[in-house]
Amino acid sequence: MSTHEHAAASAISLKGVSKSYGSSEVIRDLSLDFAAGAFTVVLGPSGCGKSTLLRMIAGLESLGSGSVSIGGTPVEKLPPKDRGVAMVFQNYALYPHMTVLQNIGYGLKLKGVPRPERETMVRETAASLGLADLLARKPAELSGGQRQRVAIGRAIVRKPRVLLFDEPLSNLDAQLRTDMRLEISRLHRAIGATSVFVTHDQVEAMTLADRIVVMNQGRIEQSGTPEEIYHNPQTTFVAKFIGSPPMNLLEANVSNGVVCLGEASLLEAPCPNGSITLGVQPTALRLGSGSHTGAVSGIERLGREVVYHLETEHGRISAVAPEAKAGWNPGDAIRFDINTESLALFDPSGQRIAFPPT
Amino acid sequence: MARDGQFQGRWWPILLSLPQLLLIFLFFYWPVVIGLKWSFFLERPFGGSAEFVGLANFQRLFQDTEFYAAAGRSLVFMLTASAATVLFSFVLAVAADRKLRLSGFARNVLFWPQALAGASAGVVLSYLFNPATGVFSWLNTLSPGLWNPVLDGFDANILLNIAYMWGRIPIDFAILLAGLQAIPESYHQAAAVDGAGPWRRLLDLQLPLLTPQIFLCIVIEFNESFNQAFKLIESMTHGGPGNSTNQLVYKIFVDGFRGYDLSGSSTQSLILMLLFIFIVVAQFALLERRVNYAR
Repeated sequence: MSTHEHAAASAISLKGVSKSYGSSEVIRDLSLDFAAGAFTVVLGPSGCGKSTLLRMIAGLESLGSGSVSIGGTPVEKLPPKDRGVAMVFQNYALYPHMTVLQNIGYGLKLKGVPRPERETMVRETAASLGLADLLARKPAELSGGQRQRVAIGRAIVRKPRVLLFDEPLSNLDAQLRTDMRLEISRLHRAIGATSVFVTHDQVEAMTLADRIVVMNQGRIEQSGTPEEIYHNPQTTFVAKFIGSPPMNLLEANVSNGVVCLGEASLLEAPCPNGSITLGVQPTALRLGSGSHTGAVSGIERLGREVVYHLETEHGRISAVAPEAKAGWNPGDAIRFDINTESLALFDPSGQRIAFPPT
Repeated sequence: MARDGQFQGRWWPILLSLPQLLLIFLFFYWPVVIGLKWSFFLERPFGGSAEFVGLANFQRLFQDTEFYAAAGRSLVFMLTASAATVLFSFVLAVAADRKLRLSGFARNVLFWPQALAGASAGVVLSYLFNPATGVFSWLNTLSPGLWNPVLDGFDANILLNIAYMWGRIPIDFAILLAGLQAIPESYHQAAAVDGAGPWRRLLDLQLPLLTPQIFLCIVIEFNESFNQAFKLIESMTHGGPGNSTNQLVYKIFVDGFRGYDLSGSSTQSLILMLLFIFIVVAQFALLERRVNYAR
C-alpha cells in the first residue's frame, strides 16, 4: 500500500471533535488523521455522522468542540473558501443556470483567474473527464453520469489540496457506479490530493480506499487497510458491515477453554467461560460433509460462485461455494464443516478477542 | 361518469363551467362591449336615445391635455410603485431567508397587511402621514412645508407610493421568499466551497434562480399599480393637490360618475385597456427572455 506523496496534498488532522444537534450527539470526541495524498474512505450506515464529519472538514458545519487542521494550519475558524478544499456533492449541486463551462470555471472566476487562462484550464479538465463536447450545455441537458463528471470537474479544476466526496455515486446506476469508481481512482492517482470519500457502500470502500475508517454512532469503530478491515474486523459491527455476504456471527459457548458451537467443540481458546460470538467468513465453510447440518433456504447464483443461505440450529448462515458445488436446491439438507483457521471471536460487548493465529 | 374519473359527453364541461362563464361575461365582457359601443355614441347621463358620433369622442379626448397628463401619471406611478415594491420585497425576502434572529416572526408580521382592504389602508395611512400630526410632521419643524402631501403634489405622490407598497409588499414578499427557499441548500454549499461569500451568492446564485418569481411579481405589480390605484387615490388624495395624483383610472371614474361624461369616460377606458394590453405584451417580449426557468 503506497501513499502517494504529492506537493499539492495536505494532511488533515481532527482532534477531539464533537458535534451535537440539540440533544443528539452526532460526533463524539473523535480524533483522526488523514495522511497527505492518501485516499481515505469513511464508511458507515446513514446517520453515523460521516457526512457531518466531511462537512466539518469543508467548513460547511461548525465544530461543537475540538480542532481541525489542514496542512498543519488550524482551519476551524476559516470559511470554506479559505481552506483549500473542494467537494463533490451527492446530488451534484450543479448551478442550473450556468453551462458546463461556467459551472467548472466558477471557482476559478471567483479566484480572479483571467478568462483565457480559465477557459484553457476548464477545457483541459473537461477533456480529461470526457466532457469536451458538452461545455455549452446546461446541467438539465446532461445525464446523471455526465452531471457527476461535471461535479468532479468543478472540484478538481482548482487543483485543491484536499478533495472531499459526499456519497457521490449513490445516485448512479450500478454500471455507471463501477465506471465512476475506476475513474475516481484514476483521477486520484493523477491529482494526488488528499481525498476523503464518504459512503455507506462497502464495495466502494473496499475498491477505492488506501484506508477505510468505519464509523458507527459518531465514533470510529475501526480504521485500517481494506484487507485488515475485511480479514480482521475488530468489532461485530464492522464484521456485519463488510463483505457480501458479510461474516456470519454465531452464538457460541466457552467452557474450560474450549469453544463449542452447540454440542460440537470447535477449537481451544484462552477465554473465560460463558457465551461469546463466533465470526465465520462465508468462505470458511466446507459444504457437503461435516458435523453440522443446515437446510437451504435461499440460493444466489453469482456466476463464478454461489451463495447458499442455510437455516441451522445456530441461526442463519451464509456460505459461498465455487460454481462447481452448485448442485443443491432450496429445501435440501446440507452437511457442512467450519474451517477453524480463520475464525474470529468477539466478547459479549462485540469487541474482538485477541486470539493467537494458529 | 367513466371509469377513469372523467366526465363523458360534450355538454357536461360546458354546463359545469357555465356559472363562471356567465359571471365573466356579465361583469367583464358585456361592460367592455357596452363601453366600446359608448365610445362611438354620445350617451345621455340619465338614459334616453344615444346619438352616433363616429370618432368625435376620440377627437375630443386627444385634444385634452389633462388626458395625456393623467396617462403619464399612471405610467410613472406604475414604474415607481412596482419597482419600489419588488425591490423592497426582495430585500425583505433575502433577509428572512438568511434565518436572521426573529425572521420567523417577521415573516408573519410582514404578511398581515395583505389582509387589509386597500381603501382602509388608504384611510389609515393618510392619518399616519398627516403633515400636522403624522410620523413625518417633524420634517416640518425643520423647515415648514417640507412634508405636506395635502399641498405638495410631489409629497402626495410619495404618499401614494408608500401606501401602495405597504399594501403590496406582503404578496411579493411571500412569492420571493418561497422562491428563495426552494433553492437547495447544496447549491449554497457548493458555491461556498467554490469561494463565494453570501453577497456573491446573492448575485450569482439567488438572483438568477429567482428570475421566474421576480418576473411574476413585476407582471402582477404592473397590472395592480396601473389599474388598481383607484382605491388609494379615492381614499387619500382625490386626485389632488392640483391634479398631481389624477391618474387615468381616477380620471375615468371622475369624468363618468361625477361629470356624467359617460362617452368620454368609456373612450378613456377603452384606451386604458389597449395601453395595458400593450404593456403586458411588451413585458413578456422584453423581460421573459431573461427569465431562467431551469432549476
